Amino acid sequence: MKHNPSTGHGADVEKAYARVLERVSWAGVLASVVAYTFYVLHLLPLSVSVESIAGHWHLGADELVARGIVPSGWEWVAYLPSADMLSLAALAILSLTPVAALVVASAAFLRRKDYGYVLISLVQIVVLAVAVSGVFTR
Amino acid sequence: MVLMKRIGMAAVLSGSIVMLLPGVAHAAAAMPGGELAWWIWVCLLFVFSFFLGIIAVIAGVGGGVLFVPIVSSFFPFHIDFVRAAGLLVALSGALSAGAPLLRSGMANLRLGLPMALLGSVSSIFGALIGLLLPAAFVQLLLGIVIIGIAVLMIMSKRSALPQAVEPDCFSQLLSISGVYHDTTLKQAVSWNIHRTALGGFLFIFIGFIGGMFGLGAGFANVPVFNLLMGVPLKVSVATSGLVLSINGSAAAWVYLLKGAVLPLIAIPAVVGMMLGSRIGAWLLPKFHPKSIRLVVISILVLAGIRSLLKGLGI
Repeated sequence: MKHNPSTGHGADVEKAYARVLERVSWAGVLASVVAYTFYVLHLLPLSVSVESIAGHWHLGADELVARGIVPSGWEWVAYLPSADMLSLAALAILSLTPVAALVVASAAFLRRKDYGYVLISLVQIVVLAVAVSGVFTR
Repeated sequence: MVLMKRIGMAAVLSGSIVMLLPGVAHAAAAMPGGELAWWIWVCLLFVFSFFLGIIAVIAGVGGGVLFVPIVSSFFPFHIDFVRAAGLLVALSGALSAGAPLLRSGMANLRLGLPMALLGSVSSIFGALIGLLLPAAFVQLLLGIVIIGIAVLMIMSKRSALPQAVEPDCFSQLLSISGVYHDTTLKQAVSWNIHRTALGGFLFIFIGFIGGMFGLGAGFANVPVFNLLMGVPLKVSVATSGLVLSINGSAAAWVYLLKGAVLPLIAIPAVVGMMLGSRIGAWLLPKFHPKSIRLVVISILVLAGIRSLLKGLGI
């Protein structure tokens, strides 16, 4: 069996992954709380009022998109910096945390010349990038 | 203290039974925010997510698996938004716990990444198909899945340290093995895995279910790692979070781009769950996990039945 470079507690790839995971996820959570405060206290303009969202939240996502109450795809970027879309952007940052961590992990695997795991990390980044691109949701 | 715990459990159970009554559930379903102000629903969701975070950590289950069936049954939000919030809740919980578990050597990237790769592809398709299905059908299927999870939780035995296994060809090819320091045993524990191909196949299925219903899939990841592949329990639980965060991220983007992420609902759920999880971790040594686990299984069964009934229009 090949030597496993990832044995022992807290191997360097895991530590690098953990560092990015922690920083980006906390940035996402902090951004979510700040943006949400702006949203519900109306401290910034909104693209759609809270009351309108609450009045329709019993309907499905397709129905809300059809009525123009929520954006589909990447349309939401056009409504920035409204507070509701800033809140969505904060959640997007939170959801991108694994991508950032995987970029760092793939570099760490490359430094170890662990090419199998460089490939797995890169393919994983591509899979997440495809999900983020919205290719399947058009 | 014992009396308090019993009273608490009785309150949770009786509350769950009351919520199961069609009249109560219909009252919630009939209120798309009309009778109660929106901010009351949002505050209720935050408080609910906070307590769910406490219970989930003590019972050793992911938040998403409890969040989706209960919120979709008893809050006025459409199941699309609940599933998206459930995924974000599960994702944020896994992210929050991830860094310390990686640093301590419990969560293992060599074990987690290949399984996450398979699971993330299927979770995208699970999310896409789940959003195409009629809401009542999804609710019905969710009820079946949740009752199945409760049965799995009752049936599955956990093995803290599985017997040493002979590594198979895939695990040798990927050099999947590890060593971690077990603080309970006060010794270094080395481990190998086997049945890697079958485990990978099951992760495809788990990813699909997780994406379709917005559930964190710790309930299934852990038994596959631990009982099937021979990974020690602590490494299984920690690495399950790593897999969940990647699968959850892939599926969450499908929901986000389909307009199913409502920040008005998702953010209080995420923040409530994260705060509750911290309190839960602090309270963990004070409670008997088995008793809480029994309460959680009971809640899952009740929420599953309620979801089934809602799906059938009853």
